Amino acid sequence: MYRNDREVELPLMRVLTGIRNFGYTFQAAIFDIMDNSIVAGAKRISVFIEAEEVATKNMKKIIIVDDGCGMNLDEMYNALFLGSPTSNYDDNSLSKYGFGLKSAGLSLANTVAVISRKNRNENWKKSVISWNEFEQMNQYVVDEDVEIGEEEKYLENLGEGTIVILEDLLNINRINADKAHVILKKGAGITFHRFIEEDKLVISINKDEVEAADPLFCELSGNEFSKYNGREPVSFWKKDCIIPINAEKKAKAVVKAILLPCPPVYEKEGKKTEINKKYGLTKQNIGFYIYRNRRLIKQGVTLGLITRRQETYPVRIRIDLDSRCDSFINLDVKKTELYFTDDFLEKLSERVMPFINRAVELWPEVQKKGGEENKTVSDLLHDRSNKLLEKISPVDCDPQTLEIKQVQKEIETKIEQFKKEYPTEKNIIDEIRKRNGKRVIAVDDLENGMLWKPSIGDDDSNKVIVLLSRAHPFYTKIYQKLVPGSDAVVVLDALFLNMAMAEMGISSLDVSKLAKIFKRLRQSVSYQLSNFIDLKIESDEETGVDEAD
Amino acid sequence: MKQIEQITISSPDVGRCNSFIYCLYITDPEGVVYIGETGARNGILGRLSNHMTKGEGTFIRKCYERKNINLDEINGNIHMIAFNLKEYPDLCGDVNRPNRRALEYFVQNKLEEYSVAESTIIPYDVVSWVRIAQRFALNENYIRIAEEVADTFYAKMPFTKNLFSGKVCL
Repeated sequence: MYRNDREVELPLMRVLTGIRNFGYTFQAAIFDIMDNSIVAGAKRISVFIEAEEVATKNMKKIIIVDDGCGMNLDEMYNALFLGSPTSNYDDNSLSKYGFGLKSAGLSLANTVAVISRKNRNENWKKSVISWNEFEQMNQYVVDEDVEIGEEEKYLENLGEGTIVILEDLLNINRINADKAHVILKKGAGITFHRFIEEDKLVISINKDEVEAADPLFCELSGNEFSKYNGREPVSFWKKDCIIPINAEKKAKAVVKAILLPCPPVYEKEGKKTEINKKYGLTKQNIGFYIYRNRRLIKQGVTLGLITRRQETYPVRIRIDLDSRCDSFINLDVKKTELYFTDDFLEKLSERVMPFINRAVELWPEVQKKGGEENKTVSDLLHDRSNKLLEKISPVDCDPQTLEIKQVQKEIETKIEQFKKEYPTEKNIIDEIRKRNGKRVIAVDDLENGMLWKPSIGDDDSNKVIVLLSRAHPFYTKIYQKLVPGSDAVVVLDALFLNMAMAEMGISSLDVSKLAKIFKRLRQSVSYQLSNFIDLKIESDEETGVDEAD
Repeated sequence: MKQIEQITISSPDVGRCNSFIYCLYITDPEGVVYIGETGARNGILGRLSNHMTKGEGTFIRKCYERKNINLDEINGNIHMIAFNLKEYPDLCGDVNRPNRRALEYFVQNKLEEYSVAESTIIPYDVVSWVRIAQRFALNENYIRIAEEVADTFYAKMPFTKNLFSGKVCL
C-alpha cells in the first residue's frame, strides 16, 4: 500500500552526502574521472596538480585535460546531472552507473567544473556544480555557460576535448602535491596499462609521462610453462582459459595465468634484489588482477584461492571481464570492488588450482637446479645415487638354502629373452642413451601408469637399470620434494634399483613366465600407490557411483 | 494403458563394455550438459542406468542441485552421446581411470567454453564436476584428444542448430 501522507521529496543533502561518501580513495576518484576521458576516445590525458604556495605544498586544485570528443552544453548538463542516461554507453564502456564524475568529483572537492567543446570551430563552454550552491538552494543545480577564467591556459593547443577542474578540495584530500603525483603516476601506469600499450594512450601527471606497468609482464612470457627455469615469466596455458559466468548472456571470464621469475635463481649473479624489484615480487602483489573492459579494477587479491607465502610470490592471474558480466559481479559505483558468485569461484578454482599447486612445487625445484642449466631437475636428483650405485650387481638370495648367487652372467646369457619380455619404447631408449652408464633414470612416463620398470642399460655391460616414471604421483609428490642427492633419495633409488635387479635376477630362472608375474606385481603396487597419493584430490563424489558399476 | 518406452542405439559398440567418455544432455526446460567417463565394467548402458536412479544418479542429482530441475520436470528426451576410447589404450581399463578423468576434465572445460561461444544459440550449462591430479594439468596429448571429443559432442548436440560449421567462434 502506498500512503499519500508520506514525504515525497528525497532529503537532497543527505542523499548527496551519501553519494560523495561512496568510499573513493583519492586516486580511485581521479581514475574514475579519467575513465570518462577514455570513453570519449581521448588519446592523451593530462593531469595537473596545483599546490598551495605554502611550506606544506598540499594540493589546491586538480585539473584533468583530455583530447576526447568533447561535449556541447546539453551533454555537459547530462554529465553533471545525477545518473547520466545509460544510452550514452557503448558495450565496452568504462562507465556504468552515470554517477562517476559527480560522486568522484564531489568526494574530492566542493566545486566540480567542466569545460568542453566538440570541435575547434565552437567556443569553449563551462558548467559548474558546487556543494555550497546545493546547500544554499537545497536543490541539485548545474550552473551553465559560466565565464572561463584562469583555466584558459589549459586550453592552449587543445582542438577539442574536455577539462575537469576540481577546486576547493576537502581537507581529507589535501595531501602533499608531490606525494599525490607519485601515487597517481604509479596507479595510472597499472590501472590503464592496457590502454597505454594497446591504444597508445598517453597519460601524464604534471607533464611527467606515465609508463605502462603490466603486472603480468605478458610481453616477456614467451616460453612454455614446462621450460620454466625461474628466469623468465611463463604462461601456464597456451591459450587463455575461458570460464562461463552466464551462458544466456554469454558472459565469460577470460583467464591468463603467469608465473614470474624466481629471484633466488639470480642469487649467484647478485641480481636477486634487482629481479625482486623489477617484477614487484612482494606479498601484496601475489594473486588475481581483475579487469573490466581492459581497465584494472582489483589488484593482488587472493579470492580465497591463494595463500600469500614465499612460494606464491611469482603467481599472477589475470581475469578479463566485459560489460556483459556486470549483472553477475556486483561491481560498485567507484569501480574498485566486485564480487563473484560461489559457482564461478568453484569453476575458477578447478581451473587455476593445478597452476597454483605447480607454482608452489616449482619454486624449490628451480632453486635446486640453480645455475646448472643443462641438467634436468631429475638428473640432479639422482646424480649422487648414480655414482654410489654404479658398481652394484644383481644377486639371487635363496631363502631356503640361504645361498647368494651372482646372476649378472645369467642375465647376459638370456639377454635377447629379456629384451623381448621387457620391451622399451623408442622415446625411453633415447632417454637411456642420453644418460648412458646411469643406473637410475627418470623418464617422462611408463606404460599404464607404472611407477618403475627394470631395463637393460645401453652400454656394452648389459647392466640392469631401473626406470622411474616422472608422471607417477610417487615421483611428483615424494621424490621431487627431496633435496637432490640427499640420503633419502639415495636410499629410495637403491630400493628401486635393487627391486629391479632382483626381479631380473629371479626372472632369469624362467624369463617368459616370471616376467609376467613381476609385471603384475609392479602394476598392482603402482596403481595402489597412485590412488593412495592422489586420495585427497580424488574425493570427487562421482567416484562412488562409477565404482558401483 | 501400458506405457511404451524406447531406447535407440547407434551401434553394437554401445552394448559392449569398453571405456567411454560420454555426454548426457537435455534441452527442456533448460539446456543442461553432463560429461562423464566410464571404465569397461558395465559400459555406457550400465553407467546410464546409474545416472537415472532417482536420488542416487549423479546426472539427476546435479540437475536438481545446480539447476533446480527435478526428474519429473525434464520434458522430451534425455540424450547420451558416447565417445569410444578403444583406440587409446592408455585411456582404457580401470588402471587408467586417472588418465580418463583427466580427459573428462579437458572435455568438460571445452564444452564450458563453447557454452559462451557466439555459435551457441541455445544456452546450456555444464553441471558435471571433476578434478584431476596435478600431473595431468598440462598433458598436451589429452588436451588434443579432448578437443576432438568436445567438438564431436558439440556438433551432435542441438545447441548450435544450423550455425555450427565445424569451427567454434569464441
